[in-house]
Amino acid sequence: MFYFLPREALKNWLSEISKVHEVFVPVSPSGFGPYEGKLYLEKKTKLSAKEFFLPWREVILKFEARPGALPSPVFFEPVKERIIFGVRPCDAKGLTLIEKVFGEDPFFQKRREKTILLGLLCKEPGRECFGWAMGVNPFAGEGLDALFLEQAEGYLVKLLSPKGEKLFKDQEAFEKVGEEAQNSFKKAEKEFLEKHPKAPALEKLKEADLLKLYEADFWEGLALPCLNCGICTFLCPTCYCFDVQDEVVGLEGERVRLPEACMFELYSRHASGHNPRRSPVARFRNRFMHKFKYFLDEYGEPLCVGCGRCNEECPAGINLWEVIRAMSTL
Amino acid sequence: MSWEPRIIAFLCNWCSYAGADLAGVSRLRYPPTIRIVRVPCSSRVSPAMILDALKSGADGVLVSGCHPGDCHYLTGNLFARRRFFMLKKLLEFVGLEPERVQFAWVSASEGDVFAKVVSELTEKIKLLGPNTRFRKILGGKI
Amino acid sequence: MLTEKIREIAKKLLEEGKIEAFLCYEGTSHPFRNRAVLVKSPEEVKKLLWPSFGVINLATPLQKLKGQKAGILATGCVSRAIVVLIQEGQLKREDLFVVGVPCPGMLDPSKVRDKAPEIIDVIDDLKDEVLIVTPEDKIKFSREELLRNNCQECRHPVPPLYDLLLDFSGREKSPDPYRRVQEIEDLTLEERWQWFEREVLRRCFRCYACRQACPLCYCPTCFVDDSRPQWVGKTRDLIDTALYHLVRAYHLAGRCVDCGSCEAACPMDIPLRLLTKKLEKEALLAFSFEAGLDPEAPLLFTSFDENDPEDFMLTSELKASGKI
Ligand code: SF4
Ligand code: SF4
Ligand code: SF4
Ligand code: SF4
Ligand code: SF4
Ligand code: FES
Repeated sequence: MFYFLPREALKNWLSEISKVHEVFVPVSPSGFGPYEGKLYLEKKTKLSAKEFFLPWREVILKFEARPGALPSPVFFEPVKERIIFGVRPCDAKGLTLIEKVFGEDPFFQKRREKTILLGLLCKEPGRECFGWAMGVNPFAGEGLDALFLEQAEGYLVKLLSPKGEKLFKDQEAFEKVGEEAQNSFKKAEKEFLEKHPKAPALEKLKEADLLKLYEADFWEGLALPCLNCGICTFLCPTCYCFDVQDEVVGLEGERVRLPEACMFELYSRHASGHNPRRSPVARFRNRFMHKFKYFLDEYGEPLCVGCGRCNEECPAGINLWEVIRAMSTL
Repeated sequence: MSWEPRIIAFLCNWCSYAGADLAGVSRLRYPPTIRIVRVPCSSRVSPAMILDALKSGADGVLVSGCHPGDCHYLTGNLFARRRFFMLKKLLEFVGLEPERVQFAWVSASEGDVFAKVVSELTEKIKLLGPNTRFRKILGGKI
Repeated sequence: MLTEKIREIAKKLLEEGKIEAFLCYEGTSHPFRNRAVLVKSPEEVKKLLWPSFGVINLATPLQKLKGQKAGILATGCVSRAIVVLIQEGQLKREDLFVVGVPCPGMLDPSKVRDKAPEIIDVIDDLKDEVLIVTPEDKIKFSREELLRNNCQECRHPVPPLYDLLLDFSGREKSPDPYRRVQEIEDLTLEERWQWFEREVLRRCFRCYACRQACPLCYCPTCFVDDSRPQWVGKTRDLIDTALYHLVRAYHLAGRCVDCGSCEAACPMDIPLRLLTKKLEKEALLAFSFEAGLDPEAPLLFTSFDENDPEDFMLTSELKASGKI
């Protein structure tokens, strides 16, 4: 089903729904925040909406820090129903990839259930974007409850899920639109897909021999500039490595889950001190092998939605395509 | 009950700790606000230890060692002096109340100086009030 | 131009067998990023160039090459980082062939990025002007404006240590290196904490890129990764983040060479360098100390002077007021 929202009605509508729901929007080039009138829709934000589902600090257990005390499970902090507007289709697709792994995770699931995700199609792909090459069709809006397409006078909204339908059922600002509008959406989709094909490299990667890739000699050279910082992993809408920590202040304790990065030495260090990925090269390799081989073999898709954040923000100038090229032409 | 500051005092084993001991033995009066951590030398105290004390809820931190020339390890305190100077400048720069982190020289025979140092520091911190700026609260601000 | 000079000398050194490899920068598909690259044969030197955006200190990847005789392109701050690394026993002088450049300064990718929504190319004359090429236009900017803050505030554009110095006229020493530090110092205590909280603590998400980019943060286990005791909590808790930033900056006191890698690496554009710059200023004023100028000299914290200032101490204050 399709609706239409005039451009000037958008802010008003966001304020209206803010009265009933918690509403988050992109507020600046850096990322999302609660809607308070500020809206940044020009480009995708540095931090994706991943932080709403794998938050910076997820409490999973509370305890009293004294011998013999039993921990009390929280399982999940109560999350209020919330709406996130302005999520880019590639980022939403990223959530569906994370879901393949976190499908059973009660925290992630609860957050998914309680969230209505409203997507916004980019007017044009950004300079570093390559979602289509990774097989993402932004018009399909995977992972979203509704998708906004910006047109001359306003937004054409495609509903994608029962949650989306329920939300829009009684929103006065939106008018139902007929076939013509729907066709314009389909036309835009068709034009986009014709111009933006999937990368042939993915098929080659599927066929490539895992051990040969692992042992290839190109890793050393490619990894030399890499700082093994966590920028690419933290900004990536599909990276989901995490750490679990016990935090204690005085007698109060909390077990928390937080984002971590396979780029870090600490991430793979065992309690014994042994580290199977001690060298920086091994950690660099892991990031790409995970995305473009292990995950691809396991789920049939790469763990990358082509948002280009890693390429855009890597301080060392590492470009993912140079790595894919090396991997797929071995 | 009125609020009493809690101050963590890192005292070097050879001078200041003995100085504190002397203050006790001599029955000098000073406020019961300090918790002593005995360290081998003032140069053993690192900024992470000082900041960790504040983070864990201390209202003030005192580091005290032997007078220059008297360090058991000859020059430990002279190295420490430079480091503390730099640390103090840094803390002030980011807006941490400078009174909360203090350094002193107290020899083994200066029980009276030790008592004065603690009294003075306690007064200063009472004026400031509890450390809320640099104290970690579980699930606090992110 | 500098690029030609660099290629020429790298080629010569490789051909003569003086070095096994040369560490420098290459271009990338991104118009305002350069990348470190190691070339091992004379044929490869055509990749090399003078990087207008070589914002990550080459002394950082250099440490991955231990045991190879390597040549390296060194600006003032790269050379100074090498000096500190030699002082601290991390590099051997005889393993290196340092090709110094009197540095013209490098451009700040964030400043350039903010000049136009879409940028295709950036043309830098290494002197006065930078042209930013957009799909429609070429826009002229003064080079000074687009320089990284640390280059604007650079005290040593000329490398203090080199085997060979390229013939080039770089920047002058900054007349006003502590202007930005002064701006913060002039705030009240309260305002300074607000600044720290707003500009640093709230925005930092603890990716540690600042640490990783720094040529002088080479500890095998950084204090943030210690677990017994755990000095720093791992979440984005503001106090833990403050602890990280304060101790990191402090660990660089008397060592930081103000290369700006930390700040350039930070994805959130946090003005991190101000903390280390403040310490640089204090070390200069109180101890006449500057890092990375002489490989034979002692370090700030491995030396002392009997007359070092101690008026900051509580006992000095009590003495001055006659209380003890
Ligand atoms: S690829 Fe770039 S962003 Fe990722 S860890 Fe390496 S240097 Fe950091
Ligand atoms: S790997 Fe890079 S391009 Fe792919 S989803 Fe992650 S950040 Fe985006
Ligand atoms: S702290 Fe920053 S400016 Fe100083 S040496 Fe390290 S990377 Fe360079
Ligand atoms: S912050 Fe300190 S402990 Fe961590 S790597 Fe840098 S110098 Fe070492
Ligand atoms: S690089 Fe920036 S965001 Fe990352 S840890 Fe350092 S200050 Fe924080
Ligand atoms: S032993 Fe007292 S300061 Fe070194």
